[in-house]
Amino acid sequence: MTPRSWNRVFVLSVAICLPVAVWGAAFPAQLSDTVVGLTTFVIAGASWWWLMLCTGFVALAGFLAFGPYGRIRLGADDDRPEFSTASWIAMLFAGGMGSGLLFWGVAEPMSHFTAPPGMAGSTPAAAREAMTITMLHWGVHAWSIYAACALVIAYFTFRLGRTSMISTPVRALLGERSGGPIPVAADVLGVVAVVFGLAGSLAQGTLQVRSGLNTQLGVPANEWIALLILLVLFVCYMLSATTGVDKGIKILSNLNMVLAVALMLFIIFAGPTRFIFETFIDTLGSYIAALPERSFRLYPFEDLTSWSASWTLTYLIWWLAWGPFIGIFIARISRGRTIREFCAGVILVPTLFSVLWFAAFGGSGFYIELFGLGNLGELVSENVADVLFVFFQYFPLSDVLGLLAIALVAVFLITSADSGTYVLAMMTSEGRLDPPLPHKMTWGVLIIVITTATVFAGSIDAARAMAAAGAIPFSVVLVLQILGFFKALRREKVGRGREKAAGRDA
Amino acid sequence: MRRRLLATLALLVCVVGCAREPVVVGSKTNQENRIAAELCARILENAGLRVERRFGLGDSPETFSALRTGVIDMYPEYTGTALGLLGARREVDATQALERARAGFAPLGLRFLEPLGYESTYVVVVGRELASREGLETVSDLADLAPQLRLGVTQAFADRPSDGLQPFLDRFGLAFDEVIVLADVERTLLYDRLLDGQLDAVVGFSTDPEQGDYGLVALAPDRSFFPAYDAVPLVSEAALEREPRIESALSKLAGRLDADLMIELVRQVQVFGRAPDVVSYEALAELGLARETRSLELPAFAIAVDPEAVGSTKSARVLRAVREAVLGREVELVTASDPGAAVAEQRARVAHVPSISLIEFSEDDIVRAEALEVVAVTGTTYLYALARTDGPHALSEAESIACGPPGSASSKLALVAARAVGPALDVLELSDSSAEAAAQAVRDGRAEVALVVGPRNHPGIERTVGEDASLRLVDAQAWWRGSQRLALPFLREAVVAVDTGSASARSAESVSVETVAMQTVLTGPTAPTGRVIGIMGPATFVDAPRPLAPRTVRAINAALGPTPDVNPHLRASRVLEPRPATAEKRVLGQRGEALLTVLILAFLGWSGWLFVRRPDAGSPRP
Repeated sequence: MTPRSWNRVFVLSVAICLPVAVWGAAFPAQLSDTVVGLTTFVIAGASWWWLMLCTGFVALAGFLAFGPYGRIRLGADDDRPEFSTASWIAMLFAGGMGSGLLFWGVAEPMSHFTAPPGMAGSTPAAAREAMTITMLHWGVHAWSIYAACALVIAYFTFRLGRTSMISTPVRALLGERSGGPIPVAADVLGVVAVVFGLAGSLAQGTLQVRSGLNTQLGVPANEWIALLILLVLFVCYMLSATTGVDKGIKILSNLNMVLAVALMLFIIFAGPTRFIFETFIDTLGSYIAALPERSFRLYPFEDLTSWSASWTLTYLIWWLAWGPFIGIFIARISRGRTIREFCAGVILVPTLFSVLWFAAFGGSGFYIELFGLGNLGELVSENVADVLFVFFQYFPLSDVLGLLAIALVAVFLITSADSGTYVLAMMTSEGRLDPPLPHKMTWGVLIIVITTATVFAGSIDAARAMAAAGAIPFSVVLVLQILGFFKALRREKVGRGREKAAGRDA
Repeated sequence: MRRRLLATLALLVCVVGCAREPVVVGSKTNQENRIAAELCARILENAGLRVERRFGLGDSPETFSALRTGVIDMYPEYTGTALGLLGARREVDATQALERARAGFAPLGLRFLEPLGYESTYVVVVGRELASREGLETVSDLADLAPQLRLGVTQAFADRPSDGLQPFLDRFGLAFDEVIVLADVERTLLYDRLLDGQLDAVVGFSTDPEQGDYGLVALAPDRSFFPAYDAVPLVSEAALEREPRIESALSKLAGRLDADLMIELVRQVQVFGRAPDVVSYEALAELGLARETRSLELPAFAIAVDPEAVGSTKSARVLRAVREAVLGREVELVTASDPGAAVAEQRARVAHVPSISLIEFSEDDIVRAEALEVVAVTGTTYLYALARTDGPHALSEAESIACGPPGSASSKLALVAARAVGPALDVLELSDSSAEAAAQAVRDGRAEVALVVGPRNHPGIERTVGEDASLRLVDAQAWWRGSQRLALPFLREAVVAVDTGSASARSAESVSVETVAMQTVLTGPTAPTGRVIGIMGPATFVDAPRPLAPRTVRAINAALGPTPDVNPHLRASRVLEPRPATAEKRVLGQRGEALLTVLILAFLGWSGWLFVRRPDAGSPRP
């Protein structure tokens, strides 16, 4: 089957994204108000649904890992993992861990520390609460969403041999011959979620690079510098996407992982080492203990609904927005794993890593605030983008650390944009693993236009709201995908026959 | 294995036991003496000596007796003080003083080493407003005024028999209305009380950073009274014998410290709350006496103020409170004719403004500026309307008014007044909002009335009205009656009395006029309302100014001391008003949210039905 190069999904997605890009470039404030108003209404108005949905993913992952389907392989029964476990886990980090961890590593624990919901800030109890909340946002919930998105795609692609389209599991639910509008809509919604999620992240990353260049090298933080950063970003990822210098990007991406881990180790050992490890263990315990309760915590009686909407739910929806993108990436590298292995690898290992990361960055921040020179708390509320670089000043070699962080964010931006372009082109060319060049070019340009519009107009909240706006309809698709997945899974002969035998071989 | 352990233990015991006794460095309670002692201790440590610090022993007599009884081995002493301890005659010449101190202390087994290079003498300090109003320059200038003034001193100064409070008062012929003596540990309160207006003059140290920071005026001692107070390490001979390296180590510091450096170090510790050992180490590194070190460069915390307010008591109080609230960071004043705009442009974190600055003008309405919220109330601002004696009798009768530059408080008041009075009124915006510029505009006839805002007893107003008999203050309240009162409910009626007699003659002839007053407030950025995403959390608009951390707001208010509540018509920080939302009762049914919930439930039902219905023929089969 040769896919028509300009199919319905492609045309419809462009038809939705292009006007938004033009609108955003022309009337940023109006777009921002509209999108923010709409997402606020949907997120705050149905907060229970979003929390239930995301906690549902955690429960689902637990069921799949420990339940009867755990031994099913994502591939034929005799398939074996394509990548070694070590490189698989390294790639998981590279894909799922974006510049967000750098951006929020210090800022998020510090924000909760200074103003925790429903209690007094800047106290030891607030520090523990802050770490628990941070892990709620960056822990198993986030990775369960990714895992669910990826698992569905991987199962249908590698085990059932279908195309890696968002609509494939939906078709399984609706009936195979269903040619109606729903599967097409599902594909389009997936694309829209990725486009806006990516644009929001790129805009934020661009601002962070600019802020870093400003504090480290004294480059003025004006719009022209932002434009220049975007231009360099655009040239880099378009070069990679169009000429196929994929290898260079892969090397960069691996190098970035090594550098990020090195940065974390430096913070751990140059900083208050004992305190960081104590924070790590303490957070692990309080997170595990708080998880069942926090997974359902919405603060209705404290009248703090707006708090959970703007922190927890925004995060969860943010992960949902990235779901289809990261999902396809994780699916691609997970061929031949059993579902149990998959869930453990995709959820538990990155969560543990996140706890360590936040213990290192946030923990050092607490140490400075509780026992050291202080002042990070006020700086966090003053300018989130600068906090990381100011934080480095408390460490030796702060200039090197700052430049390293800038380089890390920049490379994360390039690799994200590169794989984003690829995934979008794939999604709009009926799941072709080698999407045609015009598709890649179109998405590459559209993403940079939307990112530039948001950065240039200075409306990052619009970008973020847009990411949420893309994710809101996509959550519906995700539910249908999961149900389709289970419908297909029910036909697996679990517990007797060849699957069980195959499972034992693993 | 065990033998090696034993050998190690034996070695350890020997090392600990054989080590020489440490050099015990002491200091007095005041910060400058502690820092000098810390510098000495640090330089001894750098020379490889073991040092024990016993700082804050008390005032001179206590510290001196600790040295004599061998509790400490050394401390930094001042030559004049040392001579006082001996009961010797005052000596104004520095070299002479050191010679005589050395001679006097040698029989006691104590030796003065080389002077450190700076002097810490007593100075008489008054507020800038008092100094400029009364033309004070020397201590003797106080003599006439003293019966109306309150003087603040420390217990240590009051205790000194030959160069202390009573000898000082006698020498200059001063009889103050009241002399308040503070405990030594409360030294810094002297300046706080001076700024708060509870004291009119204080006796402080020349090394106190507050004098420069708050624009205070040190009066010149026009009669010879205070002796030379050069700081010199005073060491016991016993310690020098035990550890001869003390002398060579301390000689490196000889003459290397100067008054400016000491003021800066005291400022670093006392004002910025930095650790004295870190500050001292950095200073030694700067002098090339220690290895170079790195220091934090945290972004400064800027307070935007009107250029006219710089140096005033009120902005000094705010500066002090904010410094206390963000210890460790530099706090600076940024001047802007519209301080609120400086916050919006992120040139400053907070703005110190009269509350009239918190309004905005729309097409034909006056609205509350939604981008700023009140963080703290700092005082009261009054409106002054200047006119010629042959001009209008009230602001409401004027046909043209002059005011400060666009965005300033007086220009906002002028624009509101212009709306009240009618379209015939001309508004002239001057290049600055000083009383002098306003007076000049009225004199030149460019405007009939000029508006100036400022504190009670505005020095500029008192000066201009006092010096120029053709100018007077007129009623500035009449325009505010009627609809303007509804638009600006945070203004209130007030009467200001201005002393029109000249400063020197003091023929008090005060004239009272009606005017309006308002709270002076410290304002910071506020979070956008009416939306959930964007107030906080990951979706926050990164580039926009964000509200102050709750802890900072509380700390500023705590440092300001008791202040009135924020006028209810102004938007206050959520920290000061925890629950503003309870004012509006919520209705039970939210139709939109109910519809959304129905949609979600319907979707869940539909997808559940899709899942459980009989699979059709084309379903996937593994």
